[in-house]
Amino acid sequence: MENAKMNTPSFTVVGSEKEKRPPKTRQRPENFTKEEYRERGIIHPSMNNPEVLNAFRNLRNSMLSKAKAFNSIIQVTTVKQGGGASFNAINLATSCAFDQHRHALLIDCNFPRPSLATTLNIEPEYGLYDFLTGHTDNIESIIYPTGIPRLSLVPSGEVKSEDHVECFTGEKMRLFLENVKNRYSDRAIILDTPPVLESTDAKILSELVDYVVVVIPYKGASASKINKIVQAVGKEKIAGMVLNN
Amino acid sequence: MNQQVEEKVKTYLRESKEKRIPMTLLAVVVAAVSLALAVVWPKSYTASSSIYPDNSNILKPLMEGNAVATGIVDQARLARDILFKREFTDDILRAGGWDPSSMTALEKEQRIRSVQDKTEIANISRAPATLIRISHTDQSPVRAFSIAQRYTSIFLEQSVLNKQQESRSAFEFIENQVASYQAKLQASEDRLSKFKSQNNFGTLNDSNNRIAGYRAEMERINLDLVQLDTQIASVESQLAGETEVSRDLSQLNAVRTRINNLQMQLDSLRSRFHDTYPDVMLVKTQIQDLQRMLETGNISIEAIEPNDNGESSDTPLRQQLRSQLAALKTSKEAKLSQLDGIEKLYAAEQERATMINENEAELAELTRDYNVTRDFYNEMLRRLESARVSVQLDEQEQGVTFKVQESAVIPTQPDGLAFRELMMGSFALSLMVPFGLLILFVELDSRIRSESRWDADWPPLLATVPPLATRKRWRLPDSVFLGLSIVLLIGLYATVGTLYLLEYI
Repeated sequence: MENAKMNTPSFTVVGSEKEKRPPKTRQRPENFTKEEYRERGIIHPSMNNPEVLNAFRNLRNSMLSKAKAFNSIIQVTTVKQGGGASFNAINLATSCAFDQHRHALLIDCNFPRPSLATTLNIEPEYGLYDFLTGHTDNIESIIYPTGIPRLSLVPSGEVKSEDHVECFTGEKMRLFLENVKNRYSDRAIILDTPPVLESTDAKILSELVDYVVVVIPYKGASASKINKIVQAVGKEKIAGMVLNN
Repeated sequence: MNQQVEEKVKTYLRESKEKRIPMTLLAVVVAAVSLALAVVWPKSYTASSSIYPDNSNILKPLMEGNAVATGIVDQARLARDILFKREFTDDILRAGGWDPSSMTALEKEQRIRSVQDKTEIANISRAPATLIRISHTDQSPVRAFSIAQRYTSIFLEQSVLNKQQESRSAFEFIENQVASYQAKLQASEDRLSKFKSQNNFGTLNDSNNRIAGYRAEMERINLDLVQLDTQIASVESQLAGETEVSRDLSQLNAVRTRINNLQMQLDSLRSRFHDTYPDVMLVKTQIQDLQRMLETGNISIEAIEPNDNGESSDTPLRQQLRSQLAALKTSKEAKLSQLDGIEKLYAAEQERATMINENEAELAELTRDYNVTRDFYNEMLRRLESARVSVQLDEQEQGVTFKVQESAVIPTQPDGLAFRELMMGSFALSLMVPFGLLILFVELDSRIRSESRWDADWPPLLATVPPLATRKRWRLPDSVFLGLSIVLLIGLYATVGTLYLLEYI
């Protein structure tokens, strides 16, 4: 029953751009205060550290100039655990959502060590894992508004088994990405994934996304390691790298 | 500051912040170790004296102008050769406070070798002279002083002895030279007198005068001969003319006489024979031939019978000419004989002149040899007297010009850097070592820290995200940490410095 469900997804792909945005199913949380932004390490337009703010604006602009469309799927990965992929994914998504006419969807694909829900102070009922494993078929049920305006989150959910790799190889994941991409043209989709050299998830996901951004932590990688990443993901897929100091 | 340097400085600062605790600990360890070394490092003291050496050799003024004495270039080396002689070992060991009598030969050798290793004898230039500096280094200032002073006094004593030996040997040398020159002078005198006695040919001038006289005499005789030849030729010419006339008359008379004689013979024959008798015919023919001769004047000598008495018919003039010619020829013969004699004398005088020339050259050489030898001999005699005075001066220690320019004193300050300087060096080291190691670590570490190491073959670097402070965790502020570290270091140095000043260490 579960497998059948997986093979024939029951949700309807209604990715028409003209279609109206579905009604919110959840109460949108209060916007973060400046202190909350700072505590969570998230940028905001009035922050005191303009260097960081400008760095993410530059990153966003660079990605927009490279991407064919605003709603391209961008995977953010790193070299090793703790390399700053989640931090860069949240802030890249936040910078995309700075524009009042655009939105951003952040998807936590780091199943081994999910962190985005915690960072954004969300207690999800369902997450991506639940959707991919059939615990829920409703996409809306796994998309959560956040304290950051125009930024939504798809949390990882409660990952209960070690076979999560298979989740990303399934057709459901591909259809899910197509759905969220096609639903809104003004919504950037950012995937936070595990380190590319430590997990096969990132390598699998890189084949489903439009672009990959690799975060190089300060003192986190030697030249040979960077060469390995480029070889693993493919140079044409990598939009660029971010030096995370 | 260009961007790359700025990036490097930022990286170093960030790394030093990250590693501030190990760096501080390292600085403290370096400071403690270097201070401990500075405290326990054995101090050494050096005592030194400088001596003004007399560079002049005793032979130099004595032989000045005639010979060149060997110059002494490296006084220090000579001093070292003197002072490091084995004969002074016991003396030096006693000066150093050791008892050589209680030491074995090996111990003494090792000890004196150690002392010599720590003794420096060097030339030091202090215009206008070069001094000799004798210095000795020891952990005991008193011993350093004693040994340096003893070496100095040994050097001075040995220098006096050397000076005396030197002047004595110089005197003996000059004395030998005087004897040698005396013998040479005697030999030269003998050769000269012997030569003069064997070669008494007069002077070249006399010989030249004589040659000139002979030459003038020969020229005069030659002129006389020319004159005599002219006179003889003239007289002979006159005599020849007179002889022709006389000869013609004689021939005619002879032919007539012959005809008369033949006529008388014919008459006699006719008286006895007919005209056809052959003898008559022959005589007649002869008479006819003679008559024909007279007529033609073509007289044949055969036809004329010789004069019975052989006398020619001389005229008085001819006789006078003959007499004059004979006188002239006699005079010429006399002149020729005289000329021959003078020529022989001339040749002999020329040969003598050549001999005189050769003798003059040899005489000049002998005389020069004699003069030079005599001059040298006289000069040596004079210098011998000077050397005698020098010997006496040196024997009375009046001629030595060594003097101690700077005496050795007991050193009060140890060699090398003062403790205060060592502390400063230690402090600098305690700062430099952690930072130096940090820079070395950053430069050698291949991990990416900044854009400067970005490879052009890699995908583009889209952004460099600076560090972002998130949650406020309590952390000692950098300035406070730095201040505390400096206070810690300064406290360490202040403690050690105070202990040193109070002579606890």
